[in-house]
Amino acid sequence: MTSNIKTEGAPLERSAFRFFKITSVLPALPFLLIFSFFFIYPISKLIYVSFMSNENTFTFGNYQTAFTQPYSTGFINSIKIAFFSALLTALPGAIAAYFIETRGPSKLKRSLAMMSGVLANTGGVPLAFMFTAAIGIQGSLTKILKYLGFDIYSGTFSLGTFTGILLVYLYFQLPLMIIVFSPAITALRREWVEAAKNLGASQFNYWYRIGFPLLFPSFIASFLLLFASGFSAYATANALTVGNLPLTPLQIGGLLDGNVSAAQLNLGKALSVAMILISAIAVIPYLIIQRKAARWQQ
Amino acid sequence: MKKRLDLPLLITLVILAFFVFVPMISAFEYSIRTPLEGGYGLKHYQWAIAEEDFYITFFAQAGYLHSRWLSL
Repeated sequence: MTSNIKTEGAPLERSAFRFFKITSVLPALPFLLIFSFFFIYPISKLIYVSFMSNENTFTFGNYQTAFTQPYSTGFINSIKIAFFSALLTALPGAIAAYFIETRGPSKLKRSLAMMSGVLANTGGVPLAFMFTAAIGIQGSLTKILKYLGFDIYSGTFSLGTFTGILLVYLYFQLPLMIIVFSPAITALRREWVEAAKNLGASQFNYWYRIGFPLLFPSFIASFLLLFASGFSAYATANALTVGNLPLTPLQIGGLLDGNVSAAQLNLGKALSVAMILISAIAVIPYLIIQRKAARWQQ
Repeated sequence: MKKRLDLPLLITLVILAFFVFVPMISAFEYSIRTPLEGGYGLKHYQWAIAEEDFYITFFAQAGYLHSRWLSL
């Protein structure tokens, strides 16, 4: 009897499983097609072409050039500007998100969420102009500060320098942090605070043992998103600098514009692949932390 | 009942507002400066509106691109 069930049941189970798999994939087919066309295909093509020489033969030459001067300085500057802009906005943004989400009325939360969404996407030339108008040599804030006795241009500061661009990047990084970190704050339940207090925990104990460990993976994820955003920003830096600050996106832009020597036709592609790799490597710490924190969050 | 003022929230909002609105207001102030005549005026806006392809560039092209993007 038992053997009958096994022999008759097994094929049915397998075919049912196969049918289930096909039907579950079918609805996702349009998405998979779009994903393949807009994501997989361009990246595959980019990687393939980055290994091609001008004569369409396989070469590592593009990568060798990509990690020599001035492109290596471009990578270092881009990583530095992305890291510091993320570092300077992550904590203030997280604190702002906490106060807005826990203490703000719902109308304020909605308005700020909408405004942050707009501001996080306010980049490029308009942002460069806004800061030129505010803290450029003839900017309004520069003049006000000068009137009050602080001349920000008395030293080496300029909008086209590393510090200047870093300051401008904070403008879209801060709202981005508020947007991406707010859901993590909302997920912290009031019952957990009450339960901790009932068990005798102080405010410090609650944050040290419950709040911070739960928010930490989201904080790291947000930090990495800010890093990626700062790492790939192009138009603002392009509008503010005149080639005095080598940044990888600007170098890729220059190569795409046709500023290439005959030996480096695919150098821009190699730089792009290196940028993708750096962004991918930056996600690894997050995956490790997320795996460890998944147990607590469940 | 009178609502209590939430100081940390207020400080956060003031800092955010300063950070967000100062560059915006500065940009507006900059755009209405008339350096040759001195003082302020709407000269630059008038010039932009009077430009031949202003409506085509700002409205028709932007609208076309936006509608194409939406259709995708």
